[in-house]
Amino acid sequence: MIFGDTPRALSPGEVSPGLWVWGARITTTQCTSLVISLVLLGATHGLLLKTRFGKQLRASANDPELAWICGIERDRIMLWVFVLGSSLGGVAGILAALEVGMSPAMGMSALMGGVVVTVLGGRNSLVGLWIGALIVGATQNLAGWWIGSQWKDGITFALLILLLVFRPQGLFGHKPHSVSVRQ
Amino acid sequence: MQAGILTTEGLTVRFGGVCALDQFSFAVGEKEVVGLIGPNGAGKTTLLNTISGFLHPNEGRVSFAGQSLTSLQPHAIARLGIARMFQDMRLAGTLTILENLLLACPHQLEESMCGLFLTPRKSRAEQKANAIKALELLASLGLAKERGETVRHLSYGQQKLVSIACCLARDARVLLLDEPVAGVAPRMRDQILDLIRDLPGRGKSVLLVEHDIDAVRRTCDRVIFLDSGRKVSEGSAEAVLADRRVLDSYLS
Amino acid sequence: MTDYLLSVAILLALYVTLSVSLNLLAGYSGLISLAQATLFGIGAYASAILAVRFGVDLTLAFLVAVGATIVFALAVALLSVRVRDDYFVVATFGFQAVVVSVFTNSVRLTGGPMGIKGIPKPTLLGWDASSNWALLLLACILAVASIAVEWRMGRSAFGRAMRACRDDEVFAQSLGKNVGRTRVVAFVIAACMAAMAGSLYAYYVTFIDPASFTLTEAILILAMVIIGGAGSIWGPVLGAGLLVALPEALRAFGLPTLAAGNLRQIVYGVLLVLFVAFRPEGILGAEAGLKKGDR
Repeated sequence: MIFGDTPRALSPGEVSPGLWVWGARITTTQCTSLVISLVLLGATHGLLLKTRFGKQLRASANDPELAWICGIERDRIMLWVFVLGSSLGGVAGILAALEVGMSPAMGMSALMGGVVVTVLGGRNSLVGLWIGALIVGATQNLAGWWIGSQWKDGITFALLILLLVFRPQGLFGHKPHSVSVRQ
Repeated sequence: MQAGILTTEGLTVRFGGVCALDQFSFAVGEKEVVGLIGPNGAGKTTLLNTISGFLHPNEGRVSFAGQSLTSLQPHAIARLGIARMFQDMRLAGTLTILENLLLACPHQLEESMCGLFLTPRKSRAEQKANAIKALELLASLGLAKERGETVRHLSYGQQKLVSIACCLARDARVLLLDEPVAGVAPRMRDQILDLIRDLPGRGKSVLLVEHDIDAVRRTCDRVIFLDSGRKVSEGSAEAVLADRRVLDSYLS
Repeated sequence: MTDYLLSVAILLALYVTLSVSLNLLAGYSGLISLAQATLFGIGAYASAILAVRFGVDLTLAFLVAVGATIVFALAVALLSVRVRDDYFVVATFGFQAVVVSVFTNSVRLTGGPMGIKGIPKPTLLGWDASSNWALLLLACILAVASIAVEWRMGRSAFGRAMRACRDDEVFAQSLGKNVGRTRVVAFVIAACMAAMAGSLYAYYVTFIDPASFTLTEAILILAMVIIGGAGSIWGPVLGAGLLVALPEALRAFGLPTLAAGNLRQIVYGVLLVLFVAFRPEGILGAEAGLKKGDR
């Protein structure tokens, strides 16, 4: 309606030859995207681990009731979580658009890739996120290369299901206590 | 191995480095009320969880009427005739009091597809019989008027009563009660304790976990003192409560 | 004009069946599944493949559709038992993505993104069911039967057991309820309904492709259940009525079809958010069908 159904491109300006790394060509745009991503990830990492806000957030996630008793306003924190998360998502969207253009539904598959990464890396682990993202990205593209790129999505989600059934805590998360009774 | 309708032998449960139950062996006899006391973290609720099948022991066995329970699922154990009450309030929150009790009734043809669609009249008759029983039970506990209330809107004490009622409605041979009078008003407390005291007369056995020493004294034929997963003392209520070790670590 | 109303009526009947089937899972059992549209799709594809290649009678098409769908529904049911509660939705999302991927990429079996066209009209035990009126009749019978089954199940001890498993699984087990089996039964029955609806859908539209069975569809069905009232008997029926009538109304206001499609998604999205935020029990739900009981 407003923006139209068809995919559009986002141009980064004039084309430059880019760099050669280990036999592959990486464009300047990709380099910039990589750097920006790493910086943002590092900043979020720092926010969660070092700042007071980050500690409150993790406390709230860990045991909401106890955090509330300690005076942590869960609603306010959740609000900021959504703001931050959405902002990061927005930046990711811009960076992705520079690579592959934009269409209204582009968020969905990116989101689901994100879910797989979260599950794989373990909900509570930040290191897991980094490694999970690398693994998922590599697997998706390798699988696409070997089996055919039309199966990329299917394979990602099959992996997700297997993970959820057999190892829901991912690689680095804590084993969830089973449905059984708490002490 | 001790004789009794519900026995455990060398039961050991570990969580990581913590040993919640350590070679715990005991027996609950027929028509007997056994009290289980001990400080917090002693392993009382772990024991109940293991008996009712929600936890798997690392070592040891649990037997009920000669049958081993150790590899059975919780619902199968419940069906054998062991009823369990939970310390943290567990009920079907969006259902009414009456519905919760009906849920607890052991005979439910209507719960299977065959019973539901192939023999509707028989199932319906069974449900009616269950409803009558449930209403009687509610009346005896003074909850008859509130039977249409949604459970999660009830007060703590009322929910506790419903919890106990569900246990009673199971028609089980052994009842595992976890702190049934904690946080309950005095008059209701007496009513519950009298009820528990009556159970052996109706052919049932009870394993009662409690911190309320007076309640234990009033209802229990035998008492076991548990500390750090180990059985420290066992005997009549008087004997155990006078035991030096119990006094040292728990009562004073 | 009659053709138009007829098509709306058939779609309404099919969606009623679908939302009732999802209600058994998301409403009564508390299992929010995004896979229902996919099960619908499996039923449709199964019948379509059979009809195009062998031209079978409707009863056989139904049987095969139901059989195939039950197999997949059992897979999802297994997920519900093995996967932690919070992750179940995600697991069903993954499941539907995998199946849609298969729909789209197995060109030899399902025609790939081109789908299957030219599905012949069915016969029912010799009776020619090719007219749209016949299909409408069948769709209505299916819808009514689904509501009847939901009614009988919901008000029975089995329905109580489903709701107890939803509210507190551990409590239900302590009362002797086999939670896994209860869920499997709910899944199988929901799958039968979805499969037969899928079968009729394939025969009615005579052309199916993966696009009709994607996540958007799944969310639409879920919206019908939530908005109408999850866990109530008539809620999903009301939800289906509202959400099927709405795009037709938009069309009546003269909005171009494509825009109406996108506007539809905006409207559904907004409605869904509003309801979940302010009235999660839906329009009809007397009980908060989707919230687990407070403890």
